[in-house]
Amino acid sequence: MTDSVSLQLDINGQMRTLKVEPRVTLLDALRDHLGLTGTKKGCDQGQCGACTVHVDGERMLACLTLAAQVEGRTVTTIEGLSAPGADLHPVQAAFLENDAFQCGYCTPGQIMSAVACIREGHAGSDAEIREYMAGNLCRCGAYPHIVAAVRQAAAHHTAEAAR
Amino acid sequence: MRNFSYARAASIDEARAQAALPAHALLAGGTTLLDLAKCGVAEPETVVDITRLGGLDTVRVDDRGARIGALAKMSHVADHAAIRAQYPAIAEALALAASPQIRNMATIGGNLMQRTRCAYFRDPAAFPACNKRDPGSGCAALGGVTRNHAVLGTSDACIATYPGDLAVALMALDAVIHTSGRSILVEDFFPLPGATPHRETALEPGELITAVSIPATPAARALDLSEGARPPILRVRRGERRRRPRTGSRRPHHSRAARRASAASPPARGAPAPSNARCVASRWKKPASSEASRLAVEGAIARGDNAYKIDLAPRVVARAILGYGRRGMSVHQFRSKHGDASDGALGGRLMRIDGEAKIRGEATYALENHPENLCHVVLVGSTKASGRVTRIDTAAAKAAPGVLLVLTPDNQLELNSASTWLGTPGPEGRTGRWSATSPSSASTSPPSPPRPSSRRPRPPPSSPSTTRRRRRSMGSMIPLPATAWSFPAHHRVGRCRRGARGRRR
Repeated sequence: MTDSVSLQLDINGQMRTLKVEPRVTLLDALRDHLGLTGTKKGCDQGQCGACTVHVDGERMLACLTLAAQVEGRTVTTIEGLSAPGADLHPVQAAFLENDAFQCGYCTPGQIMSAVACIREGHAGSDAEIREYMAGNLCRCGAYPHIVAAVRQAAAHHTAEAAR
Repeated sequence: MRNFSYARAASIDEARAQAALPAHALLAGGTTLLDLAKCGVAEPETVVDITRLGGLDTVRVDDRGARIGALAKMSHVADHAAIRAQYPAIAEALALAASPQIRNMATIGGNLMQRTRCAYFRDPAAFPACNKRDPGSGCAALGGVTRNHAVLGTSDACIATYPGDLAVALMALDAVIHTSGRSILVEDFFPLPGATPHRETALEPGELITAVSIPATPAARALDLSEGARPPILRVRRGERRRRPRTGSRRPHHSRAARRASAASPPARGAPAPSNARCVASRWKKPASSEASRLAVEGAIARGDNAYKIDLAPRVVARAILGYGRRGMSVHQFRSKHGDASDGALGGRLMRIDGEAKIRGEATYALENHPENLCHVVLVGSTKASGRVTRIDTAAAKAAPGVLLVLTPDNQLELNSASTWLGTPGPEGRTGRWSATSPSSASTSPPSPPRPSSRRPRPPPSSPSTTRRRRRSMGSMIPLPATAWSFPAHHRVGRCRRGARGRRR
C-alpha cells in the first residue's frame, strides 16, 4: 500500500503540486490541500452536486473523483470562473441578479453546473434546464430563481454567440 | 474510506493481470467504486485506474448494430446522434439516469458493474448480515424495511433490487456484452441471486468488459417515432412464456415482460402495415397492455412493505404501452408546475449584501472553520432493522481508541439549555440532565425510565402503568428533550450515515 502519491494538477490554469494519500478525492485535495474552499462538500456521496467542478470542460463531481485521476487533465473550480475583483462570469452575474440562492452553500456547484449546462446546449427551455440541473440540490429551495438565472445566462450566451 | 494504492493500467492485458489479483479493484468513472469505498462496502487494497486505456470509449453504429466501448461515458452515448435515432431506448435509459455530472463520469462498463442500492447492503457497520457482502451471513433486509426491495426474481438469501436502467434496455434488445475473452448475452451476464447473491455478474477474476453490442433489430427502434421511421407493432409473444421459469426484477430480467410486450415484429398475418405509431398503439393497446401488465408481475412475491409494487407495476406497464405513440423522446417532457414566483411582489429578486461572496465561492461556512481540539459526534444506529431497544451496551464503544464519551439516554450529562425551538431563552443557569435518577441507573438495572428534564419538569413516575408507558415510548427512538440543548462549543455533531437513495443510474 502506498502512503502517498505526488501529483501535478492543473487547477484553474495553474500547475499545483501536492503529495496526498491515493484515497484523497479531488474535493478534499481542493479544500484541504490547496485551500480552494469555494467547492463545497455537501453529501460527499455524489447526490447533491455541491462539489461540481469542470474536468476537461465537463462538469463532474469532485467527491467521487480521486485527485490522482485528474492528473494531466484541466480542472476548473468556482475560483477559476472569474478572478477575484474581476468582472463576474455571466452565469455568476445572472445568479446575483436573479437572487438565485439563499444560504449560498450549493451555489458554487449550481453555477459550475449551469455554466456546463449552457455550454452543452441543454438550456433551451425551462423544462430542459430543470432536467439538466437536476444533479444540484438546493435545500433552501431557490429553484425557481435558479431556473430564471440559467435562462437569462443562456439567452446572454446565445446573444454573444450571434454577435 | 480506507487507504489504498493507486495504479494506472497501460494496456488491457495489464488491467486484466491486475484485476485478477486479490483485493484489486478496477476504477473507471468511480461513481460506484468510490461511493462504496466511502460506505465501507468496498475495501480495495489497490485501485487500478483504467480510464487511460485507449480505444475503449468509441461508439460505432452501422447496419448490423451498435457497438459501444466500455469506457464511453453515459452522457456521450446518450447524446450520440445515431444512438438517439436508432436506439432511443438506450439513449433514454441513459439520459434519464442519475445526474448530468454522474453521466459525465460514469462509463458504460461501470454502469453494468454497479451494485445494488439496498440500504442494508450499503451499511456494513450497522448491518453485518448481508449475503451479498458476506456469503452465509444472512439478509438484514428480510424482516426489515422492505419498501424499496424487489418483488421479482428474489430468493430467501437476497431481496435487493438491480440498480441500473441501462441493463434493462439492453436486456430488451438482446444485447451482447464483450469482455476481454468472450461474448456474453446480457441475459446470461446477470445471474439471479438464488443461494449465491454475491455472484452478481458472469465475470471471472481478471476479466473486464470491453464493449457492448446491440443488434439492429426493429425492436431497437421501438421508441423511434421520428418522421419516416417505420414503427414496430406491439405484440405479446405468448409462446415464450414458459420457456424459462425465471422472472425477475431482482435482475434486469424484469424487462422480459416488457420485451414480450413491446418487441417489434413483422405485422401479424393479415394485418395491414401500419402507417404510423398512433394507429398501431390504438389497434393493439387493449390486448397488449392487459397481457403485458399481467405478465409484468408474474411470479412476484411481496415481502412486507413492498407489496404495493405488485399493484403498481402492471399499471406502469399499461401506462407505458398506452402512452406509446403519443410521445417521442420524453427526456424533457414531464409535468411540472411553472414555479417562477418572481412575477409578483412575493418572490421578487433582491440583491443580497453577501451575494457576491457567495457566487464567487468566497463565503465561509461551518465546514471551513477548524477550531482547536475539535470533538466529533458520531451517531450510532441499531444493527437490527426493526425491533425494540431493551438495553444499550456501550463497553465496546468506550474501549475504542480516541472515544471521549458515549452518550446514551442513560447518561448523566449536564448540558446547558439554550432556548426552545421557538427562541424562548432557557432559565438562567439551568442545566438539563438526561436522567433524573442516580448515575448507577445503568442500562443493566431495571430502569426508572431515563428521560431528560424538560422546561416543565414532571414528577417521577408514580405508577407502574406510567413507567410502562414511558418505557414503551423509548421503544424505537431516543427521546428528545422539549428544550433545545446547546453542546459545549468544542462539541460538533458529525454527519450521520445516510441511506442511499440516489436516482437509479
